Amino acid sequence: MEQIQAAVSGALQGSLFALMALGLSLTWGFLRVINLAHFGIILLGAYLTIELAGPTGLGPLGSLLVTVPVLFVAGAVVHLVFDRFEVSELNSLLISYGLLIVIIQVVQNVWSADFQRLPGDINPYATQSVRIGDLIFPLPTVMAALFALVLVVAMKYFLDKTYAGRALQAFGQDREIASAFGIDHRMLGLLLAGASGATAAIAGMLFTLRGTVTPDSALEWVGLVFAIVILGGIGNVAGTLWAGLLVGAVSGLVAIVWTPATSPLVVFTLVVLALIFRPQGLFRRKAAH
Amino acid sequence: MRRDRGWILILSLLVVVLVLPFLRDAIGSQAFPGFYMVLAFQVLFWASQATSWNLLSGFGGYFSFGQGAFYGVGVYAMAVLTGRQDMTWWMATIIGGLLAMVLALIVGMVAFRLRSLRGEIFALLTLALPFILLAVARLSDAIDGGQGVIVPVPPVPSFLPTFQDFVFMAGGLIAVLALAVSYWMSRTRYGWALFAIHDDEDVAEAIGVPTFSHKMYAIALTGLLAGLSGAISAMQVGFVTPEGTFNLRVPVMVIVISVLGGRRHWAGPMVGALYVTLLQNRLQAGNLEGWSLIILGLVLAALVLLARRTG
Amino acid sequence: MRPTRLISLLVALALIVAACGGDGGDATTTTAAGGTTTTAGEGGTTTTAGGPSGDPIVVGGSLSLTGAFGATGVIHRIAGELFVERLNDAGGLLGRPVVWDVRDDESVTDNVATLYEQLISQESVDLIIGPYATPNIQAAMPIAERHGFVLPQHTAVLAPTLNYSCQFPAWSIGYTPNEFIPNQLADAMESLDGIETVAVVTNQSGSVSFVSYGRPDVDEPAALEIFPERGFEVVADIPYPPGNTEWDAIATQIRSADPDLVMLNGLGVDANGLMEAMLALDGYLPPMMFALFPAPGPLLALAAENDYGILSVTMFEPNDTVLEGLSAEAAEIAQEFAARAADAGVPYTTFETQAAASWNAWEILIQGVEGAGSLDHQAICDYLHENGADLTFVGHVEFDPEKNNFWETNQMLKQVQDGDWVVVWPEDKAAAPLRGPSN
Repeated sequence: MEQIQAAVSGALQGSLFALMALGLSLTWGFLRVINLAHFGIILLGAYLTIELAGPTGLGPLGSLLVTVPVLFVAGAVVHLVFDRFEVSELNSLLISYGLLIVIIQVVQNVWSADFQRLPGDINPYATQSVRIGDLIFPLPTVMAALFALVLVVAMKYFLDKTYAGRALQAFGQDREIASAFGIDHRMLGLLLAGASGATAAIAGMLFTLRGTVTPDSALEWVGLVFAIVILGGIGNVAGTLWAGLLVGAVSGLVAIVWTPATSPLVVFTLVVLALIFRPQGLFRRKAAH
Repeated sequence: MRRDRGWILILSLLVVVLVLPFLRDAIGSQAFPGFYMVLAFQVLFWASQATSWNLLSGFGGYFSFGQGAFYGVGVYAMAVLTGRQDMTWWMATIIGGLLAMVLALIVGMVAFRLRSLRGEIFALLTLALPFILLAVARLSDAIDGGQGVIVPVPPVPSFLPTFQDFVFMAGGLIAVLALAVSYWMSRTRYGWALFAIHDDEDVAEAIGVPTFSHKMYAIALTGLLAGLSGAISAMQVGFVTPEGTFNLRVPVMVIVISVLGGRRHWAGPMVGALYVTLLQNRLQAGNLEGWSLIILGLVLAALVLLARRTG
Repeated sequence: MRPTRLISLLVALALIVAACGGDGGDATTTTAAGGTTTTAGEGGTTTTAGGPSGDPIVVGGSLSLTGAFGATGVIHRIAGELFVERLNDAGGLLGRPVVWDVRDDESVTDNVATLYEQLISQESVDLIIGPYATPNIQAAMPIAERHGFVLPQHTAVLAPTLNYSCQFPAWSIGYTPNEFIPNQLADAMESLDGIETVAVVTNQSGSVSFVSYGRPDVDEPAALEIFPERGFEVVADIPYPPGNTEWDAIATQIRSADPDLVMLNGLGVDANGLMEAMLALDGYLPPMMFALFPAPGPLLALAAENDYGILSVTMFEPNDTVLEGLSAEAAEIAQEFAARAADAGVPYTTFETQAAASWNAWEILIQGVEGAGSLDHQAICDYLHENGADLTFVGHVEFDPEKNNFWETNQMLKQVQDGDWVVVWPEDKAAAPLRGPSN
């Protein structure tokens, strides 16, 4: 029974990482940039939540009213730089790494290197849980899963059912032809990057519901998020969510059956195997590429 | 740079590596503090790592994020063999290099056999490597078990004045080796094959370039050199931990260095190493606490933005 | 050559020239807060009125001011600055002003060796003081040994591995902390009713893992062996990697093992993560819990919110019962520190074990120099071996080279009670009685 509990709790926790991965996967798949600064934006989302939630009386959820627009703009601005300079994929990685270091240091200068967390009176969610039968789900992870689900569904709808979304897919597949059809890829790109920033704001907020943050937290997220992006298939929105749930469940299960240190071994071996046998991601339908 | 100048550069570096410690001893510590040897070692270390990375990734275009894995194997070979097994340092270094080479060959066997594993897929595969080795190092008590391993100070050969000179010389010899290999490759068909693979692998195969074997040579050399260099650096650090060794620092740094210095040129990574190491040193010494990383990040971003047109 | 490449090379050249040129003459700056100690150039100008004079004595060191250990590094910085200021106000060291040149190692162990080498060989500092965190200290030790410098260090307690004879610990859990800590905890638990089963949860970092398992290549007892010997049953043994943020699985395991005591040999905010994960499982908390080296502030906040008497170790807390055994200065220093920490925006401003360890390190260094009457490291080292030191926050300590200079420990246990950390064990030092499980 505890295995099932661990697997399910893990899966829910994984959905938070899937949400983090979503923004990265989108800009990578459709805009051809590997944006490490995304982790910096998530970090800002977390710190801004902590900063605003208490003093303004908005609480963590309310603070989204501020963080989402602000980080939407941040995401768009970063992309503007990449676009203006027509940066290649590799270079976008390096530049965004530089930006990430800058963001981490700025965060540290402003908020100190000390651990920050939402105090209990502002964050009632941390210790509450939802009970289904014998299984207990911590409320923050349930919220993370809900947000992730909603955002993934919304994103999929946008990509598959709207003109703009399909244009983006076309652009992601072949730039030249898409441009020839007169699609304003610049504007679309900015919108997508902005949306990616918005998801980062939400992910950052959700992270604070359960944990403490330090400036270095941004670097700790990189490995797992990349694993999820790879397993889900770059640019595959639904796949990212599935991959997050899978990685989370596997991690939780392995942690209980063996030890927590074994989890990354299993996860990354899975990544290697997936890359060898199914490089398009575990969940991609054959149609796309 | 015209044809023969390369050899001259490498030979002069060799001379410098061999002579500098004694020169320094003659001049005295006042005018020439031992710390410069540390700094020089760092430059040579990063030059070795970046040059070795560049063989497959710069020349061949197969972007690898796994440098940390090869480096780490060398580090832990030195740590475990000298720290727990009482082996001599040079034996441990050689074994470290060979083990890293074996790992590289395995990766190559897996990755290069499959046509689909090009470009970003290969990069992602190598990204997973350090994380796997990190977990293994933590889980295995024989290797580390999580607590870290102390690397003992080896007996310094008697003709060298200080330990720092010894590490400098050892690291320097490996750097010279790396540069020589890189130079040689760039001037022979091995290098040309890699450039061809970089530009368009299918075409290269069509005209008869044995892509598989040349990629294997490249990755094997990458592993070997990275392992040797890593082993020496373990002596410099003195105490190694899994998370300190198998993290993203080395993989990202070598990319930054090589890109800044120039990926197609055999000496590009060396220039990049010189530049980045000195920049970091200046920022640290300037006591710009709270600003050094900001400056470094901005400089990196700016330079890549500007250098993109050339590199 | 393309313009951008040329520019890059020129900038590189400029940097090389700057690197070889500037440092010897550069004034090493202190990070002194207020301003009584000033940066002093080669000529040694000071502005303390009527105080020490002459060429400043430079003490070099690194701290993790940024990065993973930054939160604790800042405590050491504030404590150090306060110490140097008071020292200079009282006449300096050997009549000369003291300047502290502290560098940021960014919590990266590889940087530490380089920084100490730089400080000793390039900046030619007179004295050094150790960094924070066990791996960093272990990295600095060989450098100190090579140059024959005395190394007072703050917090590495893994005694058997610190075998440089002129390394002096500022925090000691005796020569065998792997035996002391579990035994002390077992003593305390025996004084309560109904504590029979233990779950041992361990961070696999070098700073703490040996308390659960001992060192991997040595056969020595540690928590997992000692608890059964003392009559407790170990119902769970859960190691986790450093930096772990996934606590649900571990919490689930603990809850099903249903231990009376959870011994969390962890660091930083591990205890916070675990507690929150357990609370999320329907408000579960084990009857008793112990955290080895937590970040005191965050844990206090969480435990107080939940009225949970979690335990930890301490060398010093500003409780009356502890202060009464010490000099009046101790209380004064603690207050001054709290004020400065508040100014610096540090969330938790109490002067406790970490700050005390810092203070101890400085006192050891200064007393060694004053006792030897010179800056000769061998003399300092010998003096300390022969005479020990008198620490404001601990009392008198002796350094026995056979025990790698680790002195008789004064370690106590503290517990969260009514919103504060209070010393509860041993009974003669307790500010309040140990509270058992609240049912």
